[in-house]
Amino acid sequence: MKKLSPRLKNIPRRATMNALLLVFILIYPLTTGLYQIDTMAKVIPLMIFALSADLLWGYTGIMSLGQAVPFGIGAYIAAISNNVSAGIPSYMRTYGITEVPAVFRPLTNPYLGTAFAILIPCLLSFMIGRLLLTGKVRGVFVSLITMALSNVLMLAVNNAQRFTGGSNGVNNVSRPSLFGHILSITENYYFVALIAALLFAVCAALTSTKFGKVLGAIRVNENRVAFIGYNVTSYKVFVYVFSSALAAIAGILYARTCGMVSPSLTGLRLSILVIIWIAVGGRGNLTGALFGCLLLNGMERIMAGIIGDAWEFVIGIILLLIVFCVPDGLIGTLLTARPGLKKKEAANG
Amino acid sequence: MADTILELMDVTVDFKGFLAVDAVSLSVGRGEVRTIIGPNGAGKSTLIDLITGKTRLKFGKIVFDGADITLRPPHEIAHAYGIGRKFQGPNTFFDMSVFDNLLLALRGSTGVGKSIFYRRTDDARGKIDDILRIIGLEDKKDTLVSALSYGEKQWVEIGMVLAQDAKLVILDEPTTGMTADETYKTGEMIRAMRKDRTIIVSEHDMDFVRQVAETVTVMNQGKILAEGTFEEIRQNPEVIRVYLKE
Ligand SMILES: Nc1ncnc2c1ncn2[C@@H]1O[C@H](COP(=O)(O)OP(=O)(O)O)[C@@H](O)[C@H]1O
Ligand SMILES: [Mg+2]
Repeated sequence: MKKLSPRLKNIPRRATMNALLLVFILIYPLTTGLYQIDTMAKVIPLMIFALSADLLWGYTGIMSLGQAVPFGIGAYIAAISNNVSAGIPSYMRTYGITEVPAVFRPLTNPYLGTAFAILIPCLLSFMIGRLLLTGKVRGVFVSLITMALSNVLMLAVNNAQRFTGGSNGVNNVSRPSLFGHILSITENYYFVALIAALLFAVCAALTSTKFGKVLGAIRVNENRVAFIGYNVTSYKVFVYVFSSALAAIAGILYARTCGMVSPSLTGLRLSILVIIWIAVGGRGNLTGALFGCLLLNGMERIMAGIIGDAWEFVIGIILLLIVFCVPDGLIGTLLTARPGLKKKEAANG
Repeated sequence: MADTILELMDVTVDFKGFLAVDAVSLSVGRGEVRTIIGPNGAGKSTLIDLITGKTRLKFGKIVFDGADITLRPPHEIAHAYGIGRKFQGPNTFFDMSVFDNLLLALRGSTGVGKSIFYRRTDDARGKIDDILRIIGLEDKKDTLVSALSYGEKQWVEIGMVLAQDAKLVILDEPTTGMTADETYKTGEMIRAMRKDRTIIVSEHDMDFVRQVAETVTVMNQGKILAEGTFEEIRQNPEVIRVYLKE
């Protein structure tokens, strides 16, 4: 659609929104104190997490309710690696463990630890993807199975106390260190922001290619894609593994910024929250996922202090309002407002 | 037939006891335009699903261009063997432009890696422009497919099949929902695309069949009832009984 009405022409488009977001993130630390900077540094990895889920759900139409699996595994491996590289973690000592368990020994090297924190979730997702994304299991069943995986992992993490610290999680995780120097709160903020910006650029580049178009084609008409020669399963598995890598990186950064991990990072709640962030921001354009994540996490941190657990209720109402009033999400609606494309026509394509 | 491109040998499709295609043998010559007619439910679409890998056969064998393609997956039949199909009723990527629909269907670069590093060449652009001309949608190339008329959507799909550069093109009832004028135009498109391709069309519209057909195969209740030229078929008493008088 080349002809946009004058009013629509003035709507800030994606690049403008991305630029605004970048500027906000860059100047935020200059406007506030260390506590807020640290809080925001915990939200930025969640934005990477939101990108990962948007590739999967927003672009390809695969609604995983187990995106916390790669996130949580990445976070845990990073946390354990950080702990064991400094000796025997205290939670292990309480179980009488006097030397680093054999499975964790490679993690005593921080670089290997980080590599494993990314590779193991990818490997797991590759295996799950090969089984789950062959076209035999569809739609809501993919959601249900991935949801079950999320639950199983959380149970396992809760029960393998000797290795995972059980419900207490793993504590005393240090912020990332570069060149032998542990980053300060502000340095870590910019470090996390830099990685997020790079990963965003990778996602934006990836989705702008023909590959990105194929993902969109799979979303709207999966059956047709195979008949023009594409192996739909390999595309889906690729996206699934790639988005797991992003989720794992998000998990690593989250763990290192928070200083601790707990079983909830692997569970269903987080898997569902990321879907809600994207639904609110708008799916399938990356920017919506970032805004949705920022908006809801920002609100959560402000509101939880005021209304406590009632926030869970508010988030439900926000979701309902969005689904019924702006089904394309806040950013999605701004971006796709296009004269000439009517809903009815879109439905019977 | 001197040079056979597609050969179905005794193929049978079993939908839980119902034989939608029942021991059908069929051979199509290279460069031929074959029309398959038959009443609704005769098994035309199922036969096409079978050739393109959408439906699995229970018995039989399918040989295409010398290769056994029985039970190969759809993407392989489309890409590696070069069989393109248009579905019955529009089946496109409705939230993309006409251009992007054609681009996606363009032959080559279907692998994950290749599609990531794909750069659109002038050659590809030229091909798409040619196709847009053939399907008469040059000035709608940036329009979303969802905003097109029913007939135009069917043409987009014909364009996609052309873009695939398939050796064998199969069109399942390409003119349903079209006006007489659109149907005629579609017939001309098919005549234009036949140069270096083999074409199979399943069809209902008799004027259209007359316009494009060389050999006509008549199906009924999962079986082949008759085969011949349009005139032969039109005079075949059995065909008249089950189909033409319908
Ligand atoms: N997936 C299916 N399961 C069961 N029966 C089917 C299926 N697909 C088609 N059929 C039946 O097979 C018969 C042939 O259908 P079809 O090939 O679509 O006929 P045509 O295209 O000639 O109108 C019909 O009776 C139809 O109801
Ligand atoms: Mg049919």
